[in-house]
Amino acid sequence: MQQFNCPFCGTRDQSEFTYGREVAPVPALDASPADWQRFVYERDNPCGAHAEWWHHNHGCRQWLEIVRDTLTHEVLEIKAARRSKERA
Amino acid sequence: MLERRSALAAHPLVNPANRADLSTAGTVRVTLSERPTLSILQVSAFAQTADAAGIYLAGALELELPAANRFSGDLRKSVRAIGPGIWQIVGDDGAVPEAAAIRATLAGVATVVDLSHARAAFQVSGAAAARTLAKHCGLDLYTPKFPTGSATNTRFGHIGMTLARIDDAPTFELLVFRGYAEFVFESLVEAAEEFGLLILT
Ligand SMILES: [Zn+2]
Repeated sequence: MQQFNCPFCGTRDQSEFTYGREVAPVPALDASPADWQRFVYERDNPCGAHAEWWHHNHGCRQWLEIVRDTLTHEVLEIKAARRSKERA
Repeated sequence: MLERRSALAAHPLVNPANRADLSTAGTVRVTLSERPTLSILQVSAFAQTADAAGIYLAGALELELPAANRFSGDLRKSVRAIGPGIWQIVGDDGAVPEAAAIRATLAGVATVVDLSHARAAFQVSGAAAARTLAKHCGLDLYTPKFPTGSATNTRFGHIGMTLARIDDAPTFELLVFRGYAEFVFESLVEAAEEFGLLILT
């Protein structure tokens, strides 16, 4: 089984995680329908490195940002999606 | 406080007369029991306040703050670090503070939810306890990877659980959604039967 090395929980089976979507800036609430259309429905679907949000729903329950190779499934990068304290 | 009730109160196997075929004539390698009177509080801090919440919490409980996916304390009163800024306080009624008291201590830095009535607690103990759980859980439960003092959220079959290893027997404690208590209990009975099972109720 594919495994992800969660920055909080360590290496866990992929079945503990739920795929969210590709990483993209969330449009403002009053953004145009065209912008929302693009955000909700349109995907680049690259062959290779792909930045994705995953939820560790059966673990620490944090959202993670994973850069995953869609051809080889290799995880190139994994980090917490939550911004750190400097945002406060 | 509402009265605590066993999540298995209506289950036939709780009556020893109904489990005569689960004979323990051979060696018992797994002991299974429910702990129906646990007090469970979940504390969730904000990203900016997680450090402060941890310090206040440790002070209020008079326990050391555990590292990630570990617990400190004992069966009577423990605190478990199950996510960044997320802790569960687990223990006996009376030993664990009231939710309102912890909420007051952590006002402005964390939220506190009383999960006592939302979870069922099981203990699986003995030489084959890890092999029993391995049928439903993908974690490596053996000593180097999951030593006594470990506590984490993970999977039991298709549902989530909070799993802790509380002693070297080894004894594992499972906290699961209360609505799934009978499913978990029956799954554990079936998983443990081949190893020699003793149910304590
Ligand atoms: Zn995690």
